[in-house]
Amino acid sequence: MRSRAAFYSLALAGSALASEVRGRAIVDDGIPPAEPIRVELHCPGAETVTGAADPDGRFALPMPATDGCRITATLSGYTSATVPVDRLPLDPEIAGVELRREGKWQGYTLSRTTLAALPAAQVSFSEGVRTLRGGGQANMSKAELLFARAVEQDPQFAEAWFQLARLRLARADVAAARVALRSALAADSWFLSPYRPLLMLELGEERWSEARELCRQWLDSSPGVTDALLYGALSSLEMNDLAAAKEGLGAIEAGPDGASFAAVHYLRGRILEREGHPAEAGAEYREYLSAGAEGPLAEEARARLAKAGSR
Amino acid sequence: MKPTILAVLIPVFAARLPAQLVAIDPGALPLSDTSRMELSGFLRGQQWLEAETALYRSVRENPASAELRKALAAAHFRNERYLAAATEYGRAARMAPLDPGSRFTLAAAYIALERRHWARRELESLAAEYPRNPLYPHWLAGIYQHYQWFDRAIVESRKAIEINPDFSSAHDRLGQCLEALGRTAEALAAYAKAEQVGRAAGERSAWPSYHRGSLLRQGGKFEEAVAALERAAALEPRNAEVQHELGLTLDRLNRPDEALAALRVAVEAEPGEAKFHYALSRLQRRTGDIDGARASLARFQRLAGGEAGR
Repeated sequence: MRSRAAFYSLALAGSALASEVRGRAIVDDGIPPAEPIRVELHCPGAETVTGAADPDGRFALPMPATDGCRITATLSGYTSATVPVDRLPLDPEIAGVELRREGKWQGYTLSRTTLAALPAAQVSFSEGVRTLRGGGQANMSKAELLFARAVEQDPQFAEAWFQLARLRLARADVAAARVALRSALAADSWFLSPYRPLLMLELGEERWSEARELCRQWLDSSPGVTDALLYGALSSLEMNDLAAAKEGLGAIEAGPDGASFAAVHYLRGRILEREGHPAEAGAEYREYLSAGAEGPLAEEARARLAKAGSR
Repeated sequence: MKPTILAVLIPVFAARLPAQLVAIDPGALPLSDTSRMELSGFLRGQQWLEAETALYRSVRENPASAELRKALAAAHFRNERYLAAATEYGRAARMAPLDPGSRFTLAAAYIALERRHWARRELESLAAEYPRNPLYPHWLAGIYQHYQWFDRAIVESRKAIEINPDFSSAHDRLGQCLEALGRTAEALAAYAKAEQVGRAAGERSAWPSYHRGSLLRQGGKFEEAVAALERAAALEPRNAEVQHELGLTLDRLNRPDEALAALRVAVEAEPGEAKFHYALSRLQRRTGDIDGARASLARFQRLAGGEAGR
C-alpha cells in the first residue's frame, strides 16, 4: 500500500477520547530526544496516519477501525520500533514503544543504571542534556552544574557522571574529570564509555600502573578490545614487564583485528627495541607509519626513528 | 476478606528465548484486599495487560515496595515490554537485592533487548553464586555463542551438562559450538546425545534433530540427514526451518514431490520469510511448474526487497 502521510492533530492534554489510541514511546539510553519521535499507525488497506510524540514520548492516534494495525516509532539515531496496537499498554504512562540506540555494543555503550536512576536525578540529567544542546559556553557551564546535581541526587547514575566528566575535560580540569570518570565506572563497571577517555588521561600523565589496571578491567568487561590490549601492553612495557607486554602482543596478533591493526607494528617495535634489536624495531616503526598512522603513537614512532638515525 | 493466595506461573515465549517461568504471587504483595483480588482475577484469566496496569497503579501508590516493583517487572516481561521490565527490576534492586529468579528474568530481558553485555554480568554473577544451577552456564554459553566466543561457550555448555547430564538444550548448544569450530564428529555426537536425552525426557524440541540433519546434509550424508530431519518434523511439523532443510535434502536425493511438499509447508508456516519462497521457486522451475515458480519468485523478490537483486 502506498502511504500518504496524513498528519494527525494530537490531543494529548486532558482525558483521552474514546476515538483515540494513546501510548508512549521511550528511548533506551534515557537521553531526551533532540527532535520529536515520529509515530505512524499502519492498518491493512488503510492510509498510514502519522503523528509526533510530545517531549515525554506520549502520543495519540485515531482509534483504528480494523484489526492487525501496528504503530511504528522512528527517531534518527535509533532503531525504529513497531508494536501491534493490541499490545499497547492500557495505561499510556507505561511505555509502549521502545526505541533502541543504534550502534555496536563495543562502541558507545549505555549504562544499565540510567533508566533506573532516581527520578529527581533523571530530571536534572534531562535538563542538563537540553541545556547542552543550546550550545555556547554559558550553557556548558549550566549543564555541568545540572549533571553535578544529578550525581549528587543519585551517585549511582553512571551516565550523568560520564557527561559531567566530558564537560570537565572540555574545560581542561583533568583532576575533576578523572574523579567523574572513575565514579562512572564505580557505579557501573560494565559501562564501557568511560574507559577510553580515562585511559587517555592516565597514559597522558604516565600513570602506567593505573593505566594497566584500567585496561585489565576494560578487557574483563569487553574481551578483545584491541586498544585495551595495546595500551595494556605498552603500560606493561613502561613498567619493565616485558613478559606481560609480549603476552598482550600475542593476544592482539591472535585476535580478529590482528592482521589489520597497524599499531601492532608500533608495539612490536617497542618490544624489539627493548630486547636490543634496534634495526628490526626501526622496520616495524616504518611499517606502522607507512600505514598512515597519526597521533601520539605515530609521533613517538617518528621520534624513536629520528633518535636511532642520529646515533 | 481472606486474601486470595495465588501463585501464577507465566509461560513466556519471547522471541528467541527459551520458555521461561516468571512468578507473580499476589499473596506476597503489599496490596489491599480489593487490589489483591482484582490482580488475582487478572492473573487467573491471563489478562496480562490488565494485570500490568493494576500493578503499575499499585507501584505508584506504594513506590517504596521492592516486591511490587518486581511483580510489575514480571508483568512487563510477560507483555514483552523488556525495557520497562529491566528498568523496573533495576529500581527494585536499588531497594533490596534481587532474588535469583528475578535476576535471571532480568538477564532474559537484557537478552531480549540485545544487551547481552548486561545479561552477561548478571549470568556470570549468578553462575558464580549458584554453581549447581545448570541454567546459568547454559545461558552464558548462549551469550558467548552469539559473540562467537565458541571456546568459552563450549566450556560453559560442558559445565551445564556436568551439572545436569540430561540437559538436552545444553548438548544441542555444545554441538552448535563444536560445529562452528569445524569439529564435525564431536558436534554430531553432541546432537545425537541431545536427541537421546530429549527423547527420554519427552521433550518436543525439533532443534537437536534439525541441527544434526543440517550438519549431515552439509557432509553429503543425505539419507542420514533425511532421517534426522524427519524426526525433527515429527516433533514440530510446522517448524518452517525444519521443513525447508528437509525439502532441500530430499531434493538432493531426487525426491522432488516430497521436497516440494516440505517446502510448501515451510512457506505456509512462515509466509514472511523470503528464503523459503526462493527455494520453492527453484524447485518448481525444475519440476516444470513455471507459473508456480514465477509466483514464488515474485513473492521472494517482494519480501527480500533490495537484497534480491544483489
